[in-house]
Amino acid sequence: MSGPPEGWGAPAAGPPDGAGRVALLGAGLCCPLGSLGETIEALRAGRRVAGVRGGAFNGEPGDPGAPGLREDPAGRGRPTARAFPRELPESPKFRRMRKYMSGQSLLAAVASRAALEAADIGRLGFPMERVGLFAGVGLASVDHLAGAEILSASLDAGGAFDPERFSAGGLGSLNPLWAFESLANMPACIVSVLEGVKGESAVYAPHEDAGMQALCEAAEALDFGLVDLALVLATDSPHAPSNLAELTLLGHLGDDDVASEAAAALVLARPGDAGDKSAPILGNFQTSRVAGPAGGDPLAPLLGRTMTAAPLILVVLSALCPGLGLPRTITGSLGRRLSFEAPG
Amino acid sequence: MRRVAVTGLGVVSPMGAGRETFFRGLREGRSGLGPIRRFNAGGLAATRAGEVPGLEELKGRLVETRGHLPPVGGSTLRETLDRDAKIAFALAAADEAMEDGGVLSLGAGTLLHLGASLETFSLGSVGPVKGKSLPEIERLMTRASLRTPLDRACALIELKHGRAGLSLTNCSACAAGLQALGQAFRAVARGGFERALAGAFDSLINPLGVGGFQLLGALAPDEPEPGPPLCRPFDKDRRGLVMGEGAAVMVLEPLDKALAEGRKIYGEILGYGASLDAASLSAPDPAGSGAYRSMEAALRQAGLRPEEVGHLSAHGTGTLLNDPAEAAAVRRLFPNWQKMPAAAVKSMTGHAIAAAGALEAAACLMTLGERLVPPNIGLRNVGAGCELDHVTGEARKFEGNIVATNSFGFGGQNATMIFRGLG
Repeated sequence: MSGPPEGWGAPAAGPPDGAGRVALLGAGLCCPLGSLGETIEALRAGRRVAGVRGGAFNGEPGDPGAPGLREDPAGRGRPTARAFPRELPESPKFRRMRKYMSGQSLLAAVASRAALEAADIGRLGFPMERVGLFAGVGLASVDHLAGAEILSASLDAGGAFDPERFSAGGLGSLNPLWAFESLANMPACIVSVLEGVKGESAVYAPHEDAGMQALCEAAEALDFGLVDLALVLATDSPHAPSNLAELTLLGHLGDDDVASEAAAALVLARPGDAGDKSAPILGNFQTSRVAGPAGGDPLAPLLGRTMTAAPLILVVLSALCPGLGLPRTITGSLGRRLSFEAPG
Repeated sequence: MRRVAVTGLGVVSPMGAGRETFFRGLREGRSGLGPIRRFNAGGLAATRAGEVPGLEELKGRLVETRGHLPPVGGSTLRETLDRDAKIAFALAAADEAMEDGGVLSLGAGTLLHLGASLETFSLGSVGPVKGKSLPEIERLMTRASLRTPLDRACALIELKHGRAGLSLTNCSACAAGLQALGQAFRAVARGGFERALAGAFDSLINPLGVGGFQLLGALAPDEPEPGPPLCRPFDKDRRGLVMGEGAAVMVLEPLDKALAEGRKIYGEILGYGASLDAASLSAPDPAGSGAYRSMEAALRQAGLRPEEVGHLSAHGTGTLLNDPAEAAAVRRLFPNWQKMPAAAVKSMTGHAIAAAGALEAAACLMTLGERLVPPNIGLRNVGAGCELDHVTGEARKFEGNIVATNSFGFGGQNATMIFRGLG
């Protein structure tokens, strides 16, 4: 996940080279077009994500429904699209955990709940100690710091950081839960607590290759018998102003790319286990390493640039929306390839 | 599955740069903790930490040897190192590991896998955006980065040493270092890569890092008595963690290849296990069930019985809840716990967060090579529930050949690795 942004998602020639097949049992999505069902419906109706310039600061991800993003009248700012889940989980545990959640964590929690419900994980009956959690996360946003009192109370008249002012005043204005919003592993840990996932885990950052790596690690963990079921999640907030700017600086976003906030989650199992439990299989995929360049994000014209979440979304949409003509083989910029097939 | 050996090692720790400095500090039971000098911490509750000494010299050496390389992400190397000390630790440890392991360049057969925790932790950098409108912020930040993305260290290592076959950044908080090593171990064992350069780097010793952990109530306040500051893992008077920093990077290769090529071998990795607590974001299950499952998984992969492990390098943070939970899990799993010497390296280095697991794995290799278990220098009176075969005072001779190390991450991610000596 380093080096120049070569892109992601180009179809690659040739078959995969030996990684085991895994079965997709359930999926959840939270993106600017809505939940997974809403997104599929919208895409089938020909709708696409449209970016709003200057809208990145509008609303909070926890706001139910679309808040009506305000466009900058001068058309300044890069195009962004926000994800606003219409419904949040109702459980007391979710309400208790809500205060720890950043935007990325909230979307990850919503997508994960939907994926686990879709896979009917309770009926599958796998012990939670044998369920793994593999995650990819995007860049952390620093906008909550930029807009916070902490800066006013920590900078001198010239705008320079002053440690004494910070200790005397700035620190006291910092949200004590700040670390929970900032640590990159928190989206995965919050989902683990909410859903009781106790098996293997790993969290990667940032960008599309983090999502790809989470998928690959989950597939390998299943293949080698380290877990019996894998929850893979990826979440990103490229729309946040600090991230938008950083992604542009790094060359990951072009001038007209829509930076789309999104999270996706997949539930995976070994095909044999899924068959034994009579679990409906949405599709199968294999992962492998390849050499060679990668291309652009095939989802960008539909959903905008969802960055870390994109590989997972592509798997889901390839499974459920064959009419969209999405590629069945994708290659990460660092040589991870994922080949997808619909159930026969 | 192939057997995997550690054939190169680089360390930057609060004892100084270099693995020999680290090993000497462990042998001597030397504290790397002291007053924070990098910024004025006078107003904070904790003004002491385990800072890497000689940071400016380290940065100078890195710029001298890499200054000709192009900027990455809009920042020169000097700008990057000035903004984020942990990048300097990563580059120095990787350079040392590669030189030690005789690795001339990375290449398609090499996996580069490093752990780190937080990408942004500098209020000084965020300051310029104060009061600015969104378009102004965008313009400001597209000219100069206000952060160091977590994958920047890998990018800079590849810039000097060539592209790796796969480059990954694990961000599983305090478990990231051991997770990166564990997954690299598996990748080499399965034959996916011929070699891995893996480990972790971190530093949260900056105002927001220390202040943020203070707000969480995780830091030990300053000792009222004179003398060196203490991190007290498993002690009845433990009051929290002391912040540390550093990096440790290892070269992993198939054992057969390393033996055939006559390479120096620090130890063989026998097993790796991981688990999630799924209980609380900030506190472990008091019975240490997540820790237990992590250790059990590592033993299972290694094909070992618990009593075959001769030494445990504990996570041992010095916090009220973590230490007894870990000790409870160890006592429950290891029937030989009363004769299995336990180390708590953080008593000397502080808690290097993501880098802690990699540093403590390096300490295990010292134990295997020098037949010595480093002491827990912060332990005076064992706390209730913290009973283990603690090594105190000075390093203890080690008679065994198999060692284990634990890392438990904030948020509930756990990891355990097991090594065997080949001497």
